[in-house]
Amino acid sequence: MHQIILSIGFGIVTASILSMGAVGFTLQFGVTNLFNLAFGDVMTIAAFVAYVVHNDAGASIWLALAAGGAAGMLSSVLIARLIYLPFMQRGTSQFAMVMVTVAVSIVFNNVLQIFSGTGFYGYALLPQASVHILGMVFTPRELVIIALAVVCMAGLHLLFKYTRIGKAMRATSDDASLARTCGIPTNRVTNFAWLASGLLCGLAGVALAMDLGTFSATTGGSFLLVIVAAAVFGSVGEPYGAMVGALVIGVASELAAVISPDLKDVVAFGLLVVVLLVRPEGLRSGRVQIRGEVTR
Amino acid sequence: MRASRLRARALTSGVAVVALGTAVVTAASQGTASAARLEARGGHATLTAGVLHAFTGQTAFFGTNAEDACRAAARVINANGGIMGDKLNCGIFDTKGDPADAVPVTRRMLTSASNLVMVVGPDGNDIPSVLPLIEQAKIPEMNTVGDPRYDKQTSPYFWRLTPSDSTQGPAIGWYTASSRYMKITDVFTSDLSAQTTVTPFRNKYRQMGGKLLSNVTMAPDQTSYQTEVASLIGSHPQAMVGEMDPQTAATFLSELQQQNGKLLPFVVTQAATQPGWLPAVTQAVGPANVAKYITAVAPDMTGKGIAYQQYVTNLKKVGGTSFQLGNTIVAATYDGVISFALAMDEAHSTKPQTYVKYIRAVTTAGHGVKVVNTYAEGVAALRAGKKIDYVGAAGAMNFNKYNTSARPYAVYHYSKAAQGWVVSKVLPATALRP
Amino acid sequence: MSIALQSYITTLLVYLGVNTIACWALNLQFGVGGVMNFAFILFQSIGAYITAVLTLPQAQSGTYETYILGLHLPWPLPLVGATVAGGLLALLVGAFALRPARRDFQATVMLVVSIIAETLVVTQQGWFNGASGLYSIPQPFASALNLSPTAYSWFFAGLVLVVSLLVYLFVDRITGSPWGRRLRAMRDNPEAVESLGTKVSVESLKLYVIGGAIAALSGGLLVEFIGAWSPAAWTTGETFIYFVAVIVGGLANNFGAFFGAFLVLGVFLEVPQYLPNFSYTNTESAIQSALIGVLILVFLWWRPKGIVPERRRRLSKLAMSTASAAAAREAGTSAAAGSARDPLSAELVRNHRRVPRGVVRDAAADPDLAIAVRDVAREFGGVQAVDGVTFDVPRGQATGLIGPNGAGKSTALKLIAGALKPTRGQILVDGVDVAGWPASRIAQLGVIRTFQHTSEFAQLTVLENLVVAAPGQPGDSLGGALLGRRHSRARQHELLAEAWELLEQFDLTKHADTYAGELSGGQRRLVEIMRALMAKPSILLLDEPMAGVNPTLRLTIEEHLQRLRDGGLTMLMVEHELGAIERVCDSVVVMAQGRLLATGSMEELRSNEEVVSAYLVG
Repeated sequence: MHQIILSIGFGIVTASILSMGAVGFTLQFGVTNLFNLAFGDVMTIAAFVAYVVHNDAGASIWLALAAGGAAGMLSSVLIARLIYLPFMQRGTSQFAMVMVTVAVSIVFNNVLQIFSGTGFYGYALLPQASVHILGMVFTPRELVIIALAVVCMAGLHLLFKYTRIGKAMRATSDDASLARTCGIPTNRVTNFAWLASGLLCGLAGVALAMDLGTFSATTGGSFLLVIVAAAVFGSVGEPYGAMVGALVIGVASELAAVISPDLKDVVAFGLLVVVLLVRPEGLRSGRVQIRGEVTR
Repeated sequence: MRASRLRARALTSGVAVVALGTAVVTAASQGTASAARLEARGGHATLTAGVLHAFTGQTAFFGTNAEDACRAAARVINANGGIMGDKLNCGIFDTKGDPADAVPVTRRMLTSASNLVMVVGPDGNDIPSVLPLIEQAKIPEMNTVGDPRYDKQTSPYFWRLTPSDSTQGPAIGWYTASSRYMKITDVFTSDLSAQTTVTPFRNKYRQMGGKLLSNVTMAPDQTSYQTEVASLIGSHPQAMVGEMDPQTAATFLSELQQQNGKLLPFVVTQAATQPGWLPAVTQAVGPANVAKYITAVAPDMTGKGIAYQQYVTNLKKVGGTSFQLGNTIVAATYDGVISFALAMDEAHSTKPQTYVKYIRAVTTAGHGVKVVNTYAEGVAALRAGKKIDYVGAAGAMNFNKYNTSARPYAVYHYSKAAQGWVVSKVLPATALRP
Repeated sequence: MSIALQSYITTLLVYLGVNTIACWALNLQFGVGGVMNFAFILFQSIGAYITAVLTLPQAQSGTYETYILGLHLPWPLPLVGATVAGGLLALLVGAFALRPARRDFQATVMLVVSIIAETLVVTQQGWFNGASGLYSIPQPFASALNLSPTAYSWFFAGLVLVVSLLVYLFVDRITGSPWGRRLRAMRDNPEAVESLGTKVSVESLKLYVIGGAIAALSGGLLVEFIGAWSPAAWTTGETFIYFVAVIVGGLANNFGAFFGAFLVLGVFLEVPQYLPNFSYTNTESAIQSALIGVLILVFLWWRPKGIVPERRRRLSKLAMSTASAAAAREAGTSAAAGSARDPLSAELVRNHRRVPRGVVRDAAADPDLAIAVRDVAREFGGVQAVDGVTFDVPRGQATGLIGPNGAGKSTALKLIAGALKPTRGQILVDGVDVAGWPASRIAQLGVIRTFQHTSEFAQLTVLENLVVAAPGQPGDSLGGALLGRRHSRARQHELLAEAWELLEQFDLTKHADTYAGELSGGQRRLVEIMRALMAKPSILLLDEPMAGVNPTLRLTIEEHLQRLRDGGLTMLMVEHELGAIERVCDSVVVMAQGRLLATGSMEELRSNEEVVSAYLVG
């Protein structure tokens, strides 16, 4: 029992990182309709930027985290403007767009390797005393990561609920052409979506690198699948679903480790398969449909 | 109109590609032919050692290690008169660490490398598909794979420069028990060499009275091992024993340090002596903790004497890293190339089928056999009509009857001064018995 | 030629053959059917593993090697077993991976399956010897033939060539058949194919199984040649190399797939090895890989449809000649009867359909009611989009469905067509309650719909768009496709003639060979209406047929609809343009905020204050 509670705590840490990634991914998909498989590499870029800011320039790790977030924003907007949008404006099919993102991912990954080599990097962080909460164990840094995730999720919620741009994003995510005919400036919305998702992506990348203790040029890419799984779990394009997906997959994989650690992935991903068996369009498919229908 | 023009263009580019392919193949075959002509005229040829390894992908370090070892050895050989006057050159052939991709590359090596006399490689991922081709071509190859399926292999062209993983398990078991860690937990990842080590390790360890409290088999490259760490701590072991890749080890150990307040003594396999491991782990838990808690058990690399000095000098000349200098696999590969060259000298032939019979002769100790430590010493002794035993940078080769080197194992500790592993003790032969 | 060179060339030939077979499999799934099989390498791999364990003798203890089966079967049984295993695995994976309608979901599930499988194969050492994999797999006939290694490799290259040709004949039959056309339509717009009476998930699954089996065959051949297989040979990244190959070669084109296999897997991956023999440093190999990424981007930009793009099926000449021949024949017979033939007459749109098995029509049902909607509701997360609506669609008449924005008109239409399931209520079609039926089954009753957003099959020509809609074509099934072209030819000619006549009626013959995706919005509407007519509807549901159409074309559409109505076709039409409703429809149903507001003729409704105010408010 004690072990299970412990694992839930560990799972919450993983889920926090995962949620930032998954929500960022899902936002990109929702607004731009792009299944961006280069997302993980942008996370890695952010992790390296934070490394330079923290280890080389000597800034605090939290400043480095912010720098990572900014790097995520910048690189996301850049690839969107320079590569994805020109392709999409040419009417490239959705399949081919996936291949475009794969190619971008290959380029990013290898350009990173040109600079970083195959070596491993880590933030110079001092060990911290653990904090016990309800039978779970966290480090202060992990608590900050959890808090950061909560703030991001709450911020998004407020954005969607109370701001014009947030509502416009939701509307665009439901039906881009309709949103355009309703006078929503989709171009601005799309830009904003790239910025917001890039920020989340960058934060997730730095938080991941902090949590892993060490990272390399391939770290983000190898974490991508879990992010995509969480996003699909909650229906892609549905931010609230992605949050639930992140929580379920994060906690489930730690719980799975209690019984058979070598099959962690199998359990976490198996869960996704089961969810899709019961609800073929993901957990929150109802929400996606309703908005689609009611606005018509 | 438009469509037909497109098709025409497609065909043109297709034709261009075919032409390119043909040109390449022709050029390759001409390369072989011209080298053969050169030899027929009685001049000195350039011999090729084909370095057949992964040079791209996750196991690319195999390739760079083998390549540097080969170049360093070739440098020594060529500086000392070559092989009966012929120069040795190292050719690069990238298998990508994939048994399927390795086959065409091997075929290409066999057809395009001029005067291919030896193969340096392949590695564990490729050897199952590549070995039959090399045997068919009757070219001796030297490898450092741990796969115990080759423990009783009988091909005369197969030469394994480092011991089988089946001896690694007992060595670790012996060391753990004799270090008085009588209650341990084992932590292995579920991949390649780990599983061939686990059972032999447990058998030896139990046989010596050790008690296995629990075992954690881990999926590599996870984002978190917190739960695994918690259950490890929960079993209250004196130490842990296992094998992990660099990324996994770094994450696992830093989480252990965090949860437990400090690390536990960790006896780790030779995976820890592979590139990337120390940088990743020292990064994650700090060099002091690595020095204090972590011990690696790996084939011996004592690194003394003139053989070692020459190895260091020449490896540095070809751009070798400080990591490679202390690495058994790199040194053993360097020794492998030199001993194959000495076998050619002894056989008075660079013909693979001929000299292969002399490899054992130049690497086996015996009465009246002169121990030589460098290529030059070997050539001189052979000229003087003596029998030789080459004992190189990594020590004696000691091939057993299945052509696997029966090197001793050693215990390694992290040295802050050297920023790498150093041997602290060589294990006795009894340690390797199952 | 030296022996070594011969061996190298034969090896390349074998790899070219194996990769081409694999590319054909992927092309069938992805290029033709649009299924993004991100687990592709898994199927090649299962073929390799099964071939290995069927060829190898039983695992010996104490050899550090464990695996299942070890049946030591003679050739070609291991290959047959591998093909079957690949098909079965595809059936298993496809059964749930193809459930989500969205292809990116499907792709993710497949990627996840691939990762799960990789983890299981590595951790479950007893299956295929874990991460170390299997080795020493004997080559077929090697001992019986007793050839020199070089001669054997020529023999094996020949063997691969024979198998490749057989596979080619197989895939070519599929891609050239009416079924292949339906699959391409499915790729372009699965929802529309569903609305024409085809269960897309079932057809996708068939395709997935066939592709899986062929991929497994390619893996089996490869392992017989190289004699070893392990997880290092099938990392997930290899799936993407195959994808790049079929995209670069050209999708939905078997020659393109072959070319892609040659170019990407043969040339791109082999030729760089001939670059000057520089020392490999990590930086250089990273630069090389980055360049490959750039190359893919450049390629997708420069040649988005591949080097050998999908072949445009130009059928207009054939259609025109068969149509005029048919007209000449008819002229002979109908001259006596003295009636000119009108393709839009009721005779042509009569219901050709069989009642699906197990459906019993209610004998007591009113024969004059084509559709009876009874207290139907649909709720989305607490919002009632359609809230207990009851109305009738009389047979042989055109009924309009109008209402302000958000009234639930389109939702009602989708509920009738089965694109959505009602939360309660009955929908009687010819007296049969179809509430909750899948769209394809309702379509089989003759209820055919058009879409609010145009839903043409963009990469099919206009003629193909029409012909694909016709139900019950010989050759429009897996079995039929394999019987070959001769089996389906006669009916295809009839359908082409029929489609040509429709095109003449709608004045679109000059666009017969144009890709539907290249037409204007209004023309696409026409194609959609013609396509619906080709499906021989007994009831036609039209969802805003005039939306986004220019005024001239609107009139044309209106005229056609009037003629259809006069021909006796039952229609239900949602439309904002009330003038058109008035001219086309006999009676009108008004909805507002999910409820029924009124029914009657336009004239009656205009005097209904409730209706007028609803429109003003809306």
